[in-house]
Amino acid sequence: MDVLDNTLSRRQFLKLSGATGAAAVLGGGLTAFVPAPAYAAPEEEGILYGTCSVCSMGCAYIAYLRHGRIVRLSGNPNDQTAEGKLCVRGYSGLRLLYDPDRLKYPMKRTNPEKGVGVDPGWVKISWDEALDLTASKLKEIRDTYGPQAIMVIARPKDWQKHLAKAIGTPNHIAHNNTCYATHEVVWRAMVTGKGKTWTVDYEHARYILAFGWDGMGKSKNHWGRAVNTALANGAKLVVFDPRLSITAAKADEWISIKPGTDLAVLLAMIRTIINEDLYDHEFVANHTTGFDQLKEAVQEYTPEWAVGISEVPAETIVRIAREFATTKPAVIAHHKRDAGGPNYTNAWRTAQCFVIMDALVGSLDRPGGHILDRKHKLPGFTDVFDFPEYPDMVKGPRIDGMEQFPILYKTGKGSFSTLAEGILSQDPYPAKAAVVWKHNVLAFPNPPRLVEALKTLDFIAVSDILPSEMAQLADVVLPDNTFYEGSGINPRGYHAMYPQVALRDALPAVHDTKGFSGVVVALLRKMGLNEYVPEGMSGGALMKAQLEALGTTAEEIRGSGGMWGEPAELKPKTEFGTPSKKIELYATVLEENGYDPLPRWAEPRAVLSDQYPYHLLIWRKPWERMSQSQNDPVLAEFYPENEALLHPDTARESGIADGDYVWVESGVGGIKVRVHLTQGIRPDCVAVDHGFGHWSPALSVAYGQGSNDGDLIPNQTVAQQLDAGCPAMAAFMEDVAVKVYKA
Amino acid sequence: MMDDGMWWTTERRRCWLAALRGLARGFTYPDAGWVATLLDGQWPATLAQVLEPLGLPADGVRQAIEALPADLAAALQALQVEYTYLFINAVPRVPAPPYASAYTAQGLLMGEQAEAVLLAYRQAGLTLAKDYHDLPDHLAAELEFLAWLGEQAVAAHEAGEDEQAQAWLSQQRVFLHEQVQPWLPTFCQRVEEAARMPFYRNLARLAEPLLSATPTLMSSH
Repeated sequence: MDVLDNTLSRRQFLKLSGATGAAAVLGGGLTAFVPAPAYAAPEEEGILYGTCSVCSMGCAYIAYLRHGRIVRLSGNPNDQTAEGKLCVRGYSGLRLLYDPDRLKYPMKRTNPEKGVGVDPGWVKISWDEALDLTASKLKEIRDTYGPQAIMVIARPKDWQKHLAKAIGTPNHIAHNNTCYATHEVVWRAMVTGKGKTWTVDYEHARYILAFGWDGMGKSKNHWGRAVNTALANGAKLVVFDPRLSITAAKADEWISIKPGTDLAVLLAMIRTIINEDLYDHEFVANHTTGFDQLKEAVQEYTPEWAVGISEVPAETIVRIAREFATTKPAVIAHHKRDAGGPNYTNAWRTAQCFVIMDALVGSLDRPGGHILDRKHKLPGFTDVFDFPEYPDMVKGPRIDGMEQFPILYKTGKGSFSTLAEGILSQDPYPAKAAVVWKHNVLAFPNPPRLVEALKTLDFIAVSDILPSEMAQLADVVLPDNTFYEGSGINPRGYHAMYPQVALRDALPAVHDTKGFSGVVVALLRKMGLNEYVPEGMSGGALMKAQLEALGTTAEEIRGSGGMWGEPAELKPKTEFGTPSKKIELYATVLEENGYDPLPRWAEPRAVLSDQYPYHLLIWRKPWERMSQSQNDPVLAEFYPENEALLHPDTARESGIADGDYVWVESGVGGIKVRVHLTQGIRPDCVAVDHGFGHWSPALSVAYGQGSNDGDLIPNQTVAQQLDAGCPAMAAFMEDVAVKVYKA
Repeated sequence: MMDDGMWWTTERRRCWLAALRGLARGFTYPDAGWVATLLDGQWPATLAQVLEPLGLPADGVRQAIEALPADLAAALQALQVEYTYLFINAVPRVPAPPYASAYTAQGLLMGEQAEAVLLAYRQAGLTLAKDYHDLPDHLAAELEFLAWLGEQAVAAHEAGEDEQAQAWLSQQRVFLHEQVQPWLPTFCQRVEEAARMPFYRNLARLAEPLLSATPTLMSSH
């Protein structure tokens, strides 16, 4: 084609229309601009209030704006949780907001082939097209195979749950069994009837006892400062951990325990406290049930017995048990991936012991102990929006098998570890599509297996901020807002005494992104599920109703520095959420569901052998927060790749030197990492930090840096889960034996 | 090339501004309406006509358009995939982000450059349209702004307000010099290296001479 053939000569052209006409032709009528009042001030400034969502603590920040751009962040001094401070990850948030790799527009793939190293061949599309395409695919799959063929893979939050239930699928898949499901189930059964509390009054504790808990090393802002305050006031901190964690380094005592054996030490401590009559009689008598059965059950667990299992001296066990019971207030520190988290087959029993220890010293819902949820009750999703109670929802088996774990099932906090086998075996039925919100492939145990499974699906839509590995597998990419770009109010759950509500002002979206609530509303409408999208349903409407319920306005909260709510005196609870309204040391809910109602020793899964002679430990650097921080060029500059921590004696035996690259291998997979030698680890352990090994080349900073510990962790079948007998379907993330050799 | 030592007639200036408008369109996401004007020859022919008095060749762009699939849907898809790859999100990485802020040491978006151009737009009496959905320092916005400033100067000149015309030209010069020229050569170089089809490479080859014009050439007399 000769493009000049059918055009006028230049002379004719100029005569007819002139260059002004040419500008119109060439510019195609596009304009990025509209007139505005001329504006000459050198700076236009403002602030936005918000809460950091890099981690779950929700520290309140103030964002300083100039010409619509956040130029600086600070902690909000009015916030009792953050006390005007943010952590290194909080400050890294701006580099996520303005990351050039961010997903900027909806896109679809033009390359039908999917997999590691396969270029999706993205093409930008409009939001209308992206949502139309997604809705029509989901509708087609729902009509052909039934709603259960669609999975919603997302944290179990209101909008995400609503999407799954309105579609009618039981398959809302979430990460909790890799994170804190053991605590959730145990607290539900023994204390709350709901889930775990996140509030601990470390500040007023006089004795803090931790098993694998590294709240300070995980950069938990409020806890770090609260524990330091307690220490400055003379509290004692004792940490059991096979690795010298940052919390252990700050502790009065670090006790290097054999991995997966915390349960043995705790059982012996419970026995000591009971048999030496050191427990809080008033609290136990008035607020617990099952003490006598507990006493009987722990008699076989002598400190001498625990020594052989844990390698902790008996006198240490006894001494610390005595100190813990006689120094008030005392508290067992725990959170997510600690010794009672879903790391070991026996971890749920360890979590039981945590509750029992707190109960024995009267530290449940008492100053200096674990405080039950006192967040302000805001009207929730179902209070504000009127829609049918999901009459068409398919009840019955799930792809991850969670319905066979009745206590966990009621929490709605599903399983990552069984998903891949569920999809691949098509048992109980084939899965055909997934809508994924911010859950990444690398967070699953054995990610390569999950990729195989996801490749068998007909359709995947992914809402995310960065071009994650999950986005690489997507048919449609729905770019999500960062937390800076969404508004709302955040009741927050981490501060024990001052559950202030924090305002979240929205920065106008930097790119053409959409928050997930908007995606849910649009998808349901386009799928014809209008009964689940009442008129006016939006995140804004929810916020408005919540503000009305609090009797305030966003403007008023801004006027009081972004925070709402006064410090309140703690009124200790005298009733708990169990069937007996007491803390059930003998947990009837566990018993009714076929589990041990009392803690009992059980071996961990991993058995060291000549072939696999080391325990795998997994941890996280204080500045790492998985997908929220991994593509940050500043954090990457000072810590570009993760490491394997090894004891010098272990290294010497294998001819490994500091800085060498080694292969760490389990029966499932192998990863290549650089070695860092340290005395701060047991010689029978290898510790790898999480957050590396990205294979999405579109993450230009994180790509190819370090390795993912998840490659070493087995995924599971539901049968294996049932066999393991954990009520929380824990993924047993650290119950893994490995070998190490020079690469 | 453009440094011919002669005054710019108003007509030549208009050709230059029209070419800037064309570049702005070229560096905006392709849609069906525009791609149709590529395929039917209207756009490249018009571009050739405004480039000729500027002493710039139009052959590269013309040949690049000829190399596109003749079918509108196929050509549109090819250009959109290429645009997404070069400028939005790509595997392994976006080779040529079209944002000034991406060419600074830290490379984060919405850097000081974005703020500076936003201020320049506001001082000129413009703001970004609600449906624009992109960053202030996107090359297409900067080019459109440059063209608009020049058009204001031409209009003022024709209305006999030469002082006002000079003021608009001065703004245009400063904007070109401070906001566009510092990063444009690197951007063009990256497009040159990464482009998988000739269209954007040839646009980049035009962008360099069109935007390296010296202040002398941009003055009215």
